[in-house]
Amino acid sequence: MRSQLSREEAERLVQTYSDLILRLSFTYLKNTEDAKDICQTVFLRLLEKPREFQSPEHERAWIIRTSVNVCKDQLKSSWRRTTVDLSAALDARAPEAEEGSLWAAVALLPPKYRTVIYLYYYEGYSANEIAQMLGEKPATVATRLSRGRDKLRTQLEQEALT
Amino acid sequence: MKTYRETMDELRFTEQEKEAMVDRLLERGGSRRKGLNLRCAAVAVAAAAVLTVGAGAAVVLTPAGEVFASVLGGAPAQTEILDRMGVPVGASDTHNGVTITADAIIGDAYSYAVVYSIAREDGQPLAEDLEPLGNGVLPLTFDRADTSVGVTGGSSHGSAYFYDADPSEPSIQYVEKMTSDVPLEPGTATASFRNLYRMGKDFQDKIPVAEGKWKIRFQFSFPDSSIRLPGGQTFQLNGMEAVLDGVTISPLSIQVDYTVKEELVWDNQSQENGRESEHDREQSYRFFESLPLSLNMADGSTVDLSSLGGSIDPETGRTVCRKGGVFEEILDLSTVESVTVAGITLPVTP
Repeated sequence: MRSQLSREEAERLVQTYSDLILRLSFTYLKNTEDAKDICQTVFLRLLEKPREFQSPEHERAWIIRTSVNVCKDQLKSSWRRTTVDLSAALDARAPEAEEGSLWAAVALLPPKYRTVIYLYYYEGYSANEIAQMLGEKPATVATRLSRGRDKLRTQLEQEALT
Repeated sequence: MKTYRETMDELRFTEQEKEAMVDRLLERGGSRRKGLNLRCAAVAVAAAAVLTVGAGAAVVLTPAGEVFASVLGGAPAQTEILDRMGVPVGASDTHNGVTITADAIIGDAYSYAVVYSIAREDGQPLAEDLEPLGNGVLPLTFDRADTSVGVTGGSSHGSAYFYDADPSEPSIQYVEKMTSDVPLEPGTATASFRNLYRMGKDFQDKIPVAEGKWKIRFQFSFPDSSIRLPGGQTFQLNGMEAVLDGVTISPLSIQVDYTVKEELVWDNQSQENGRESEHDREQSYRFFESLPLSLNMADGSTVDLSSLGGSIDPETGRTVCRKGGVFEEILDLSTVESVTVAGITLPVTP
C-alpha cells in the first residue's frame, strides 16, 4: 500500500522526524551531507511500501530502525548517491566539536557505540527498546553502553592529562 | 563547555530546509496534479461546525456541507454535493472535562471521512497559544485514534490531522479520511481516542492537553454515490498480463481493482527488520506503483492519480491489486469525462 502523500502528511513527517534522522545519521556517518541523504531515503522508503503503524511510538521506532539500516548500507557501499537536488536545498551544518568536550569524545567512538549512546542518552530509550529497534540482543546493547561509557571515560581522562 | 545534549540540539534543519524537504518529498512521493486544482485541504477556512450539547439543551446538528467545507472544499457546487452525500452525526463522549464529538460523516463504496470536534466543557480553549503550522494543521496528536467501521477483512489507508475550522470559537477539529481495500458495509462505527497531546518544540516532546479515553459509537451509514465502471479489459503492466477488474468512482474517491496474472513473492525482509529490500521495492513498483491512473476532465485537463495508495495481495498464480484514495477536494463527476487506467479509457457517465 502506498498512501497518497498530502502536504499535511509530508510536513508532519518532516517536522516530526527530520531532525531525529539527521542526528541519528550524523552519529553514524559523522557527515551532515550524507545524513541529509539518509533523511530523504528514509522518508521515501516510508512512502514506497504499505505500512500500518499501531501508534506514534511504533512509527518512530520504524523510523529509527530504518535510519540505522540505511546508514549501514551507506557505510558498506562505496557508491555515493548524487542527490544534488536535495543537498543543494539543505544546509544543516555539523556543530563545532569543542576540544575536550563529551561531544568530541563520542565522535571518536566506533559507530556502534555512538548510536546506542545517542538513543539512550539523547532520545531516552531504554536498552531493551534500543535492542528491539536495532534487532540486537538487550545484552549486546547493554554491553555497548557500558563499553562506550568506559571508552569515553578513558578518553576524557587522557584529555584532562594532556 | 556545552553538554552532549546542547551540542546535539544544534544539529538541526532550519524551517526553510524543512520546507524544501517537504516540497522534494511531494515531488518524489506525493500526488501529481495537472490541470485541476485539487488543492491540499486548506483547513483554515472558517466553517460554523458547531454542535451544542448541554443539559437539557437541544442538539443542533450542523449540515454536512458546512462541516466538510474546510477539508473537502467549500465552493457552492461542492457544498451541494457534500450536503447530499454527508450525514450529520452528533454523537459524543466526555472525559476529564473534554468532549469529543463526531460531527459528520461522508462516504462511498470504499472511502469515508469523519470530522470530530474537540472542546472543553467549560468553554476554555483546548490549549493556550495553540498556533497552526503554516498549512493550518494544528500540532496535536493522540496516543491512539482508531475508528472501527463496517468492513470485513482487508486493510485501509488514509490520513488524519487536526485543524481549527473556526478560530472564533474554542473547539478544534480532527478529520480522518480513509480508504478500505474491501467494500464498506453499513453498521455501527466505534471511534476510540486516548490521551491528547500537543507536540512540543521540534516535535520531539509531547505535552499533555487532555488525558483520558473517549469512545464514540455512531451509525456508519451514508448515501453511496459511487459509479462502477465496467472492467474485463486486459493490459500489459511491465511485461506482465493483467486484467482490469473494475473502477469505482464517486465525488469523494476512486478505487481501481486489477489482477496481475503473475504471483508476486515478497522476501519479507522488511517485516523482520524494517529495512525494505531492493527486491521488494522493485516488485512493489512493478506490480503497483507503476500503474498509470488519471482522470480526464471535460475541460481537457488531466489529473494524474498514479501515486494513490492501495494494496497488493499475492495469491496462487496471480496478484490482486487495488489502487485508490480520497480526493483532496470533493469532485463534481459531471466535470469528469473519463478515467484512464494503463491506457484503457473508461467513460464516466454520472
